Amino acid sequence: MNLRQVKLVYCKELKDILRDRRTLRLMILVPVVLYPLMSIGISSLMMSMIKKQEGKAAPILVLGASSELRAALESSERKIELVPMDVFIATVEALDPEEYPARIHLDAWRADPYSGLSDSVQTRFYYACVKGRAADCILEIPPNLIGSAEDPDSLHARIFYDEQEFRSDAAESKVRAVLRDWRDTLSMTMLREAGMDDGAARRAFKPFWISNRDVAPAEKKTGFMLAMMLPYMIILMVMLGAMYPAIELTAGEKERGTLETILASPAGRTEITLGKFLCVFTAAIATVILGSFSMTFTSSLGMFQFGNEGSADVGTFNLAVNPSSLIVVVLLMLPTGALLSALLLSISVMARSFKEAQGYITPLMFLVIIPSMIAFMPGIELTAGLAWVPVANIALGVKAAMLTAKGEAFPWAVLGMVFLSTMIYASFALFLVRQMFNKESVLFRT
Amino acid sequence: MIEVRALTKSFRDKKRGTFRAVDELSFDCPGGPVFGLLGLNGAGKTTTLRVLATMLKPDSGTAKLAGFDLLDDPESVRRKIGFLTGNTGLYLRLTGREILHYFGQLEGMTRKAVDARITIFSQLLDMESFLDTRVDKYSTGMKQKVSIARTLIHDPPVLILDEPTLGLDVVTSRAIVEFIRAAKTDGKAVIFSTHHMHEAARLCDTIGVIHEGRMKRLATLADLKREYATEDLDTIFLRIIADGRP
Ligand SMILES: Nc1ncnc2c1ncn2[C@@H]1O[C@H](COP(=O)(O)OP(=O)(O)OP(=O)(O)O)[C@@H](O)[C@H]1O
Ligand SMILES: [Mg+2]
Repeated sequence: MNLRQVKLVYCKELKDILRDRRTLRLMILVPVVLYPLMSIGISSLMMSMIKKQEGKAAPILVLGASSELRAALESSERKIELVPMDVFIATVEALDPEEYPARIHLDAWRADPYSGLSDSVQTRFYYACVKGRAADCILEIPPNLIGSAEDPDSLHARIFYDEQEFRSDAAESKVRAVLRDWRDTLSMTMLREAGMDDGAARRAFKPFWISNRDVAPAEKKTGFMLAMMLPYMIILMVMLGAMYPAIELTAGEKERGTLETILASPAGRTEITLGKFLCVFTAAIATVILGSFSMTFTSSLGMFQFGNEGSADVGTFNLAVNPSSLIVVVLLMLPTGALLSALLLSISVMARSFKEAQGYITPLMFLVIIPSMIAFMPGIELTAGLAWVPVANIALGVKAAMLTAKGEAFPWAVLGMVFLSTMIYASFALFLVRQMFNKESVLFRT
Repeated sequence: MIEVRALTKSFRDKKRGTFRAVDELSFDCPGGPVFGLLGLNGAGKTTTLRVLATMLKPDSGTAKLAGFDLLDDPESVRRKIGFLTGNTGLYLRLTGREILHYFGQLEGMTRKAVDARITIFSQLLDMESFLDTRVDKYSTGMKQKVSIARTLIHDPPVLILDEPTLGLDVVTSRAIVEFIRAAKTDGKAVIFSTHHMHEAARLCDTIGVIHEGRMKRLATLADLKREYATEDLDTIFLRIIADGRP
């Protein structure tokens, strides 16, 4: 082994790919610029959409409500606007029958809005009404809703909405909230009318509150989301970062006719292989490091929003990651980067051109990305057996490391096994690349 | 300086099965003279030259270049050869100087030694103005000059050239012809293949015509001209291929 040659090849290849815009774009631009921009963009877009919907009056059609309920809806600070029946009908009438075939049921509906249509037809009709913007949702109050002697279980105020439609979903929440408040008031009134004094009524109505507190340590909470996403993200980033260099250094050389020149030079095949491999490996690791920094930074800005508004765990991602977890993850990334770089090289060296190599790499992408998704599955933990399943072991290893809170011991035994097995696979893949670089039928494929 | 002995190389492909692209080829090329390898498309010229450059391993037979056997010591052989083909590319994102440094250092030269050689070539080939520009901005002629310098950077005693003027215009081709002539004057052994008979006629001392992997005729240019009673190498070549007698 001539280390000087390895170093020469490595330095030259590194210089070469660092001047390649395509490579740089994937290595730097995607993780460092595009990724934060996307998450910032998406979350701020979501926020502004929510804000906008909240601030806008939601047009709703109310069927059969008492004047008190109407007043409660109209005066609500949640901004609800009641659509007059004639306006509603006029809008539905004006709908294009081609686009909204359910419009034809308007007459039957007008004749009897409660039961003029069968359930399935009613669903389609209201869908058309919401889509056609006659109203964002429809609230149906049966005439006997209040004060009837019927079994309360059969009494329903119904809201028709389209959850896929953002404005309709927002209108539904508003109406539901007002309706709930109104029902609470009603309960209180009824209790008072039944002769209870205020205190007793309140106690009878709501004898106690239920509150809860999540006691998981902060690292666990953060770790959980991050631990699911990170393995997939990291493996994807390694693949993206290493892909172009791997192609460029093999098929790219064939395509441009530089391969013969290097083969006719005194550089040995092993030295060439190693130099190229180290260069691709560097690109892979650099991408991971850049990407991790960028993800950490983006997350620390609180750009990840999880949970529903109104649910207890509206969370911004507080980045309480255990620092030693990150070190373990980086350690795991070393054999991973080596394995994926060698795999990419061994596949792209077979191609005759850049295009062809890209075609070969696409299936490899799937082969690698899919097992990395194992970390998304709850309940699957790293075991001694799984530690030998390539790629999946890394995903689970990263997840296990991320879920280890400060002060807890890492599962060193299995993590060590992941490291070891990946190293073995990586050496095997590297050996494969070297064999390829010695094969005439691979280098001079016609 | 080049001694080829019963060199054989087979390939396998779907249509033809296993076939000999080079079939028991033997010839010599001492230092000084230029050896021209002529033959139709697919005759086996490129394969022969690739075997000589140790890129392909022969199935049987061997060759000695500058005293080293290509089976026993391929690395030493590679140190002694300069290899250039019409399809040889350059690294587009490096400058001419960086490329010369890369190959010079791979040959085992020190940075300083490479620098000294670059100074000589940049004057000789008039490359100063573009040597520090990236290759993707070069014209074909500029690339060819850097390629020539790259081939000669370590002053190899043997030059292996496969259709070096492929796709070049008259002016650039002439630069290559001059470069071969200069190498000959320097006492280097040159073996080159071409489809341009006038080039071969101008440069070669010895001509080898190969056909279907076999050496059909091996003679000095002067002998061939005498034998076929013509100055025109085109005619001579066609007659040899057609197996015609003088
Ligand atoms: N890597 C390879 N695999 C299979 N067959 C090959 C390979 N390289 C060359 N051949 C075949 O070997 C024969 C000799 O090819 P070669 O390239 O040596 O011819 P050539 O004399 O250089 O032709 P040309 O004048 O077209 O360059 C041809 O039939 C070619 O198809
Ligand atoms: Mg050829």
